[in-house]
This record gives sequence, C-alpha cells and structure tokens, in this order.
Amino acid sequence: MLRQAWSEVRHHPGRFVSTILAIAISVAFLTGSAVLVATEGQAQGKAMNVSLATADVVVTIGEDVEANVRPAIAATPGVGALAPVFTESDVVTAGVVSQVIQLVNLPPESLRWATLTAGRWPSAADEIALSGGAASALGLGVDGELALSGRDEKVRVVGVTNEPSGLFVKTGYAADARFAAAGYTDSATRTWVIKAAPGTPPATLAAGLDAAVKRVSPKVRAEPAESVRAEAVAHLARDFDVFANVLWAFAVVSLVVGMITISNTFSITLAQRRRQIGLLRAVGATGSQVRRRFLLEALLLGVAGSVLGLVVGIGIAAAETAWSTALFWGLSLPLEQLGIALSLGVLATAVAAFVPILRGTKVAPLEALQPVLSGEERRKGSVVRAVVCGLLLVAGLGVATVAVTVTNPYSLLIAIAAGALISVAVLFGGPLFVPSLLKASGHLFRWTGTVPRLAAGNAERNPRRATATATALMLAVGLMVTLQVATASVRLTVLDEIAAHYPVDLQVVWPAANGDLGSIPTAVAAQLARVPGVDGSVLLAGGTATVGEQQVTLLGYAAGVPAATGANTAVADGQVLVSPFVAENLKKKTVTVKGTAGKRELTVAASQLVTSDQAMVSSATLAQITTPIPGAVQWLSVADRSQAVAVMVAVNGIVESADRVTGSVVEAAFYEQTMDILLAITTGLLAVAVLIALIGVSNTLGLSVVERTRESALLRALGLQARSLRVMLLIEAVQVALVGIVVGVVAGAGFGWLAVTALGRSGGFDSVRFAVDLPTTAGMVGIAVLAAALASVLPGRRAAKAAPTEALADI
Amino acid sequence: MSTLSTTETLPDQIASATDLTKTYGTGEAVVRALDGVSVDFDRGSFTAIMGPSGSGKSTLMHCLAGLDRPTSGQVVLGGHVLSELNDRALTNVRRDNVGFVFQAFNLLPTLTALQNIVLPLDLAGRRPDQAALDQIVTSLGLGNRLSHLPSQLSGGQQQRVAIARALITRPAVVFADEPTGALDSTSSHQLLDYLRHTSQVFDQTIVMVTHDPNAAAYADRTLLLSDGRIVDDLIAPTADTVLSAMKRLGA
Repeated sequence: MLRQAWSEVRHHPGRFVSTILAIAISVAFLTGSAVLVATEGQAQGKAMNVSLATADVVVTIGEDVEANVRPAIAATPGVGALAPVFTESDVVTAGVVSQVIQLVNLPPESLRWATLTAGRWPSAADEIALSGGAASALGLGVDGELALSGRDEKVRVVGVTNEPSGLFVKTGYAADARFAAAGYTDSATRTWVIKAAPGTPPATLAAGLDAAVKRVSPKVRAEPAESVRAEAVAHLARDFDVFANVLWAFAVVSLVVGMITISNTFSITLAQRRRQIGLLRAVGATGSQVRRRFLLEALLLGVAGSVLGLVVGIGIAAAETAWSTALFWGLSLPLEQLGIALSLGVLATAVAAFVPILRGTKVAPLEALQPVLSGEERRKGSVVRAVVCGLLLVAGLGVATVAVTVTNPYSLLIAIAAGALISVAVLFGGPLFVPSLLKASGHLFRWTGTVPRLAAGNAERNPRRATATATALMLAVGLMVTLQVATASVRLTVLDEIAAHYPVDLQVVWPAANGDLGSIPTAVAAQLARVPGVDGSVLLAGGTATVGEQQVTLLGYAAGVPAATGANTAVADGQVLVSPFVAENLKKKTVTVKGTAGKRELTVAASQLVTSDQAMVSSATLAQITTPIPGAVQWLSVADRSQAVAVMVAVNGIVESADRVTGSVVEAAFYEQTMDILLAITTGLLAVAVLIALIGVSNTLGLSVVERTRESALLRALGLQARSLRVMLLIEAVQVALVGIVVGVVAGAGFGWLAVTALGRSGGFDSVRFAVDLPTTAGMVGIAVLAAALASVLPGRRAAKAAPTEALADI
Repeated sequence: MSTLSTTETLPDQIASATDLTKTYGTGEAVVRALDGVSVDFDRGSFTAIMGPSGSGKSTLMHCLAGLDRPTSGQVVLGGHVLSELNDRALTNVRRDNVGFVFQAFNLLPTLTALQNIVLPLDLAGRRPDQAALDQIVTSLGLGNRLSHLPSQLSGGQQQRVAIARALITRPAVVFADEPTGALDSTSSHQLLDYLRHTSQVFDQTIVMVTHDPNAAAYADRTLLLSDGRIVDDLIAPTADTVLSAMKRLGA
C-alpha cells in the first residue's frame, strides 16, 4: 500500500504541491526561528565572553574573594601565557551615533581571538581598538574619536579588527594601562585566562593549576576553557528562550492557517478522485483500507513537506546569521527543537487531512462510477453549528464587555480570552455567513457584464470550499490587523501620555566646556526653530541658583512659553515654579531662592514645565537673583508627535551632540523607533501566515478550475476569449479573497480596540486613544488582494490554454 | 480575415473541408484521426456523420467547427478560412457563426435557461432580437421554464435550451454531437423533428454526428467515416440503407 500511495504522489505531483508548500512554509518558520535564536544566542554568549575564546584553561575566583593568583599561575609548569580578564560596558558616542561597546583588555598575542585589519593595538590609556562590527556601527575608522558618555572622556581609535559585531554586543579593545588607570588590579581580577605551553594538554594543565590556586584560596578554581565556554553559552541561551517562544507562537499561527489550507485541499482532491475511490471499492477494497491508503498519502506529504521546510528553515537562518555576522561564531542546530518542528509538520498534515478523508471516502462504489456534474453543494449550515457559534459569540461579547468596563489588573488577559471566544465563533461560523457575503459581493458585479457575472456565480456555487478559503485569510489577516491596530493605538496613547506629563517637547541647552550654562548660538537657535515639524520655539534666559538646599538652573519666564509648550502657565513676580516632585519634598509654601546677585523669598508653585533640577521665575525676578545668561535654554514645540523620529534626527544634526537635547520628544522618538521595529517584525512574521492563506486561494481556484474543465471548454466553444476566461478566474479569486480580507480587517480592528481598551482598564493609561494605521493597513489589504489576483494567474493560464476539444471529450 | 471572392456574397456552400488531415503522436505511435477528408455542405442541408468509434467523426466535426486545428488541409466556414485566423479571431467566428449542441453538459449550471440561451449574444455584447427569441422559445416549448436553473430541468428540456442557444445567433452551421444520446425515444423524436423542421423551413444548415441509424434517417444526407476517411455518402438515407451501409463497413 505504501508503494501505491508513493506512486500516486509521484504521478500527480501538481495536486500535492500546495499541501507540501503549506507545510514546508510553516515548518521552515519553526525551524528557522529555532536555529536563528540558537545561533544568535550562541553568538551572543561567545561574543560576551570573547576573552575566553582562545584560552585553554580558565581560572575563576569566587565572589567576595580578593586574591592575587598571578604568582601561583605563573609558577605552575606548563603555562605558556596568562592574562587577567577585564571587561567594561560603556555607551560611546561618535558624532550623533551612540552604541553600547564592551571594552575588554588586550591579552598577550597567543590569547588573542581577532586580528587587526587596520592600524595597531592600543597601548596608552586613551587609545582603543574597535572590532570590525563596532567600527562600522559607529561609522569610524583609525584615528576616529569617541566620547565615553557619563565620563566626559574622549578616546582615540588606533586600530580595527576583523571581529564582527553580535546582535547586541560590540567589542572594543583597550590596553591594560587603561584598566589599570581605572583601578583594575590583579587582586581584584575575577577571571584569568591561560594558554598552555606547546606540548601540555589543557586538561593536565587545568588539574595542575587547580591544585596551585586552591593553595592560595579554596574559593578559586581552574577549569578547562572548553567547559567554561559551553556553560556561558548555555546560560545565555536560556535568556533567549523568551524570544524563541514568541517566534514559535507566530509559527504556530502559520501552522494553523496551513492546516486549514491543507484540509481544504484534501476535500477538493478527494472530491475529484471519486471515480478512483469508487473503483477501489467496486474492486473490493474495504472502507477502512481506502481510508488508510489516503492517510498514508497524507503522512507522506507531511514528511516531504516537513523535510523540505527543515532544509529551507536552516538555510534561511544561516543566511540571516551570516548577514548579522552571528555565523562568525558558528551555526547552532538545536536538535530537539528541530525534531519537534518536524513532528509538528507531519502531525499537522495528518490531523488536517483526517476529517476530509473520512468524509471523502464515504462513497458508495456505484455512485462514484457515474459521471458527475461539477460538485454543486448547496448544503445548508447545520443548526448545531449555528447554535454553538451563537453561544460562543454571546459569551465572547459578554466577556469583552467585562474587559472594557471593569477596572481590573487582568483586563488584558480577559480581553484576550474574549477575543479567542469570538474568533472561534467567527471562524467556525464561517459557513453560516460567508456564502451570504459572497452573494452580496456578487451583486456588485451583476451590472458590469457577462464575465463578472459568470465569475460571481461561480464563486458562490461551492460555499463550503469558498468559506474554507476565506476563513484561512480571515485568520491571518485578522491577526495582522489586530496587531497593527493595537500597536498604533498604544503608540498614540503612550505618546499622548508622554505629552501630558511632559509639556516640554524638546529642550536644547549649550553648556560651556566646563559644564556651566552657556548661550545657544543665535544661528543654531534660528535653525532649530525652522526644523520641519517644529511649530513653536522660545528662548529662555537662565542662571544658576539654589532653591532651598538644592542647586538648580533658574529659568526666566518668557512670553513665548505657552505657545511653545501648550501649557498656559504664567509666573507672577513673587512665585517660583518647581517640579511637582520637588514641591512635595519642600513641604513649605515659600522657599528662599539664592543666586549670585541676591536672594528672594518666593511662593512655591508646582508645575510640569520644569524638571527636578530646574526652576522658573518671572524675568524680573530672575534679574534680581542672578546674572541671566540670555538664550541659555531653548524650548521647541513639535506639532505632530508621530514625527518625533524625523524631528530628532534633524535636531541632532544641527546641535551635533545628543547630550544637548532632552525632552519628551526624545523619549517619544526612542519609543516610536522601538514600536516601529516591533511592528515591522511582527507584521513580517504574520505575513507568512497570510502567504499560506493566499496559497490556499490559488490552490482552491486551481482545483476548481480542473473540476470545471468541461464548463470552461463549453464557454470557449461558445465564444469566450481566452483572456476573458482568465479575467473571470481572477475575479473569482479576488472576490473570495476580499470577503476573507474584509472580515479579517473588521474583526482585527475590533480586537485591536478591545485589547487597547482593556489595557487602559488594567490601569496602564489614563485615557485610551483608538488609532488605525491607515497607510499600513490599506497597503496590506492592497497587497493581499494583488496576491490573490496573482494566485489566479497560473490556474487561469492552464484553463485558457486547453483546446476546447480536449476538454469536451467524453470522460 | 480572408473570405471568398466578393462576387459570392451568399455562397451556396456554407462550409467546406479540403484534404483535412489530423494526426496525433509521432513515430510509431502515430494515430491518423483524419486522413485527407474533403467534403462540402450546402446551405440549409441537414447532414448526419456516422461511423464506428475511432472513425474520426467527432474529430471532423471539431475541425469544421473551429474547435480544433487540423494538421493539414483547409476549412472554410461561412466565408472564413479558419486556418488563417488566430485564436482570438477564431473564437469570435465560433461565437457569431457556429451553434453547438452536445450530448450532455450543454449548459452552465449557474445561469438560468434564458441566460444560457442568450449567452453567445451576451459574450458578443449584443442584445437579442426579441421577436426572434420569442419565436425560438415558443417553438421549443420553453416559455414557462426560462427562469429555471439547469438542475431544475429534465434532460429533454436541457437539450431544448441548448438548441435554442445554438439557434439564437442565426449561425452559419449548427453542429450537434450525439444530441439524442442521453434522451429517451420520445424526446429524441421531438428533438430530431425540430432540427429537420429548422433546416427545411429556416434554411439552417445542420451537421449532426451520431451513431444511431434512426437518427441519421432524419437527415437528408449521411456521410460514413471509417479510419479517418469518408467511405460512403448516402442521399436521403433511411434507417435500413444506413444499416446496410454500416454492415458493408464491417465486412
């Protein structure tokens, strides 16, 4: 029977291509993400412990132990080279680019893991070399200059190596002199790396060193570097698990969509093979033998698809890690997860094919031998289905109402539960409403001509099949839109919150070289006011003063403040504005404000306008307290906070140092960037599911075309042009796809709103804004419709190419 | 598009085939479905084409109707030389100059009887002549069935709808492929009677492929094919003469 099943697959490959594709894509997703995460994790682990990369033995000193083991190590026979390991993470800035760099000390030659591609190794304390990855990320080369943030220190790049950057870690190398200057001593070292002398096996050396260092302190141990490296990698890989789980969640969604597609495919192919089934039964095969044969076919397909997916997935992961340079540290294949992915693929195929096979093989032998009109199943939706889905829908709506009206920390979870209930109701209730939707959309076509009318008629004549196709799209598109809407809404809400709490969009200062307040150059101030997206600007005079015990920057109120901040605050001559936090701490109604020119007792007023290290008084008062420096602070108002990123880039370009700019827009910009990346990634991941659903559309159409060969031939004989036939099929494909997409968009928008409102109810936000990212969503809908149209091309060509006679020949 | 010389505006010969050959396959597996067939059809004639399976009768009809292209030879139909037309033009010729009736699966299941009847006109973007439509529908007894789907019609009714569709465009030739093959004897008689009536009264040329000698008797000429060649040409055939001719074939 295996041979029969195999020969079936071999002789009619076209039938099975779409099934194999659907499985292959899902399994590729599972595999790809597993391998990707494992490899990136491994790379991360190795990159962060880059100093251990070439060592033979590692000596680790326990916590809270200060022991200088250098003499003990040096005295042990078999030691070739030894070095302490110092690492330090820093944010470095080159121009407007900031990166996190991990600085490591440069070990002796034999313990180095990277080679120079330019320049030389650092020797002085203010010199560093950069890994190739870090250098390109910062856009620097030899003789470039870096500022170390938080320390007002500058270092010079003297060399670049061939080491690529990891996803999160970029390496820089500093001389021992630098670390010594920073206070790293031999006694404070936690880790030593040792290279074995030629001829000494690492294991032996490790044993010898262990004995030697234990004599210095029992809390010190020496191990072969191999095991230390493996442990570090494993440790980090665990942290990546969360990431991996998220990816797998998306992969499982694709798998579910794939299962719907496969189920559909099997229904259709089994309907087409009724004669074959009837023949088998007439010849004497029992029902269960026939079923077993088809299940075996399904399993074969599952295996073929899964293996293909495995190979493709590994390939994609390898390509990505080559691009992200994680491949530099080696490809990691997590065999357990790959095995799970493979099994899931096979299992999914078998499960998806099971019910269609059960149904499709219930054919009486005689029935299948008679010629049959292309299946026109006007099956009425069953009452049971209607009742169950109705109940689910009501339950879901009820839970949803709870989620959005009751304030509760778990509101989001409740909303997700409601969403799940409603989704199941909609997806399984498909046969109840999709045919009506198809009929309604068909009406739109009735007036436009014969071909569209024919197409509309065709789309609604097999409601079950059209429903299954549309359902797959509903699920995939629905999820995507939910995510988009939720993200857009959250983004807008958070931006609003930021704006409400921090009325100052952008603040620019121009500190002098010694850190004192300085004036912003007039030209710069003018340029900043003209940045596209900036719709208000005010220059404030300021000076240093103390409010009570605390030193602040004292600002003078100017007339342009309300326009530039949207806050209608004014300052009377006897008042001082401080941040709410400071006001709370002062506890008094008045406070002494003292400066270089004098001091005044002023009434305290709290305001969001100033930060904790600022205070504001009227300009007259300012002159009485200190010598105001004109134009010390510039406040800019950004019209549309969703332009945050663009404005930031422009402003940073003008002020040339990110240190000079603060404000809620900075926060908003960073937040937006993160959200955008997140959204792009998740949309991309869900696009895989949409792709599978669209394969389903092509597939359904292709198979229904085969079923309608006689009809197509008849139409051609009667005078339908080949091109018109293709157009007819295109309209059919687009019609079914549109129904699925529109329902998906509507449902997705609804779920997105639900999620965001529930988030608000769980105490996340004061007020929730609902937003639909129209361009992205419309673009996605457009692409999906286009893809559906494309999906009709191949079936259309096949239908139009057949000469009318071939198809009219008797069966 | 090439037509015959302009002096012949209404050729008596509505269709003709010259030296038609149709082969399938290559080398040793070559099958000659048609082997140098030449035949003419006059306007208003009712011709039956008969022959055992594999004789090439369906192939001949397909080539005459522009449904298939012969390997060599020429077909002229209603003034059009079919071999010189590309697919687009050929399709239009079929739409406007040919009517089809098949043994089964004649109608589109998603269209009503009326929509099926006017389908060729719809495809051409033309409206039917209401008087002509009424006349055809009444004469076929379909008046109260026009809004029904094919699934709601009997076999005989479906064939009648197919004939109505074939006639609505006033085609040069109506090609019928075993039109009575799936019908009972009463319906068969009615259908063949109607066809003969149409050819005699309305000058409609009909070419019918059949295996039934009784059906061939309704025609005014019967061609017998065997192994891709015309082997007999009977004028005013009767069931008996046809049967004798067929027996001679077997000998």
